[in-house]
Amino acid sequence: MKQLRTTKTRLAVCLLVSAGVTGAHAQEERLDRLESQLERLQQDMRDSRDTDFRINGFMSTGYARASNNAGYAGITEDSDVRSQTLFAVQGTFDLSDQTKATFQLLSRGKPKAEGGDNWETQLEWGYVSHKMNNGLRLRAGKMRTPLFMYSDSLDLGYAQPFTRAPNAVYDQVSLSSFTGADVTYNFDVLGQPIRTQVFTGHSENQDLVGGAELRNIAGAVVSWTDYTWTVRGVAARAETSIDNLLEGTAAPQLEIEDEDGKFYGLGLEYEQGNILAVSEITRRDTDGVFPERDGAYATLGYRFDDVMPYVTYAWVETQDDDKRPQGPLAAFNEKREDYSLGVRWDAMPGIALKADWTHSRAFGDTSGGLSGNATSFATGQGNRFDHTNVYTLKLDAAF
Amino acid sequence: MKTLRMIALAGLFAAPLSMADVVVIAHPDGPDNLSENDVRDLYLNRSNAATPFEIAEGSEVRAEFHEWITGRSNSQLQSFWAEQTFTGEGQPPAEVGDSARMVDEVAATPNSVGYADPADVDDSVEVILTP
Repeated sequence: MKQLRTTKTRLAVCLLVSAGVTGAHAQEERLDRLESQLERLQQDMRDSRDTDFRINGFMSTGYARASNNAGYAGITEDSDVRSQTLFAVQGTFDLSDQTKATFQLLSRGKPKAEGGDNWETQLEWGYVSHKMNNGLRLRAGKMRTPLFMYSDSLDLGYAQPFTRAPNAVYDQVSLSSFTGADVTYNFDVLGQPIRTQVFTGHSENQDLVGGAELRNIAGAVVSWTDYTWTVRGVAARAETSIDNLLEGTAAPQLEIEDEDGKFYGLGLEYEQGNILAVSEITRRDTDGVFPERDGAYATLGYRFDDVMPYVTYAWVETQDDDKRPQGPLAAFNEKREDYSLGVRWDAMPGIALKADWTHSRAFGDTSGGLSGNATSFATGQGNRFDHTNVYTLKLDAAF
Repeated sequence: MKTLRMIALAGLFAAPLSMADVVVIAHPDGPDNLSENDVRDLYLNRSNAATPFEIAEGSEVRAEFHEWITGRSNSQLQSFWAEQTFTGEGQPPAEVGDSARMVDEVAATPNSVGYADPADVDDSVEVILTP
């Protein structure tokens, strides 16, 4: 702004001066000078745009309520606004043309059930990245674990077509970020753009129920796109520890320590004209009693200008239920189908309004992975709920 | 797509002034020899080979350019750039007010590309692609 004001003042002075000039030759000379001055000013204005620090932000807020207390995505009969609300600020410092430091502070509302004025602010991203001349990009610090297609925009609802990323897949691994390093490389194979990313690090969150830690994470992502189709594959492994698998139940503490955990995911996206189709299938496979879990979803959307209705089918099923035949651990056995019907409306630049109805059913002999059932399952009382309906209204903004 | 073009074409004949036309322009010293895919890569953050400029949202020239080159609507582009920005991949191209200013900006910025209504294009820039 300061730059602009100076520019204007200088311009005004130039014009005043030029008005007072007489004599054709002198005028021509002045004109030349003015022209070069103007060019310099334009250059100044362009330079002022290339600042060394940028700040961006995004937020979401919404309203969610379920038809019962099954607890899909933590949502119950008690309508909740706070848990749907978050605000983030991201800053990027340009250290050089190729080196940047980026941070993102995110403040998230905790579910109503936890009581009080519960807001938690944390450093969601904090890394230094460096682009090398050969096309390699190196990053180090705290970053998003790139397990899913929408991992990078996990909290950025505005960049997602749906109201809520399908839980069947996005719940597979609840530790969403890691501290470590990654390398990204883009190259062409037979004229086709391929993007590869390898990452390694450590992740821990004691606030999660039970407390979880992933040590020696190592993973790789390969993706290809022709702007219509995108195909993405990911494989990762880590030594997985959970302090108490049965936290919150009457059962004695059960710890898993450094079990070998693997994760595989395959994603497919089609975006052409008015049609959007996205699908992901993922498998989480941990040694020991912690469940081996498969999840998948397919979303189909159709854009009518700024309004996009969508449908999603999602499925999740644990594959090793025989390891947990009964007792409190049986609550980890999970089978569920989710049907969602929703709409995204791009109300104005930077703001999207969304509405979603999700119906969950088909739990079979399992808890369906829902908290409201897990408690009664753990005490041998079986399922309290055989389905749930979740209604969500959401506002996503980016600025 | 073909039907759409036919309708667009019919519209052009019916009301020649209401439809903006668009060409891709570049600084006179280059880049040149860009294909439609190269331009698309510049505007979708896949290439840093040149500096792209964008006309502010709401312009018909902008809408036509994107229909032709990136196939993305305004709201799709908004989502795309939000994602790119927050993942540290890059920032959207700098915006200029209108087609005439686009020509000035590209003419004044070495190694830049833009797009404009052919009526606004003069020899300060080079036309490198036409639909």
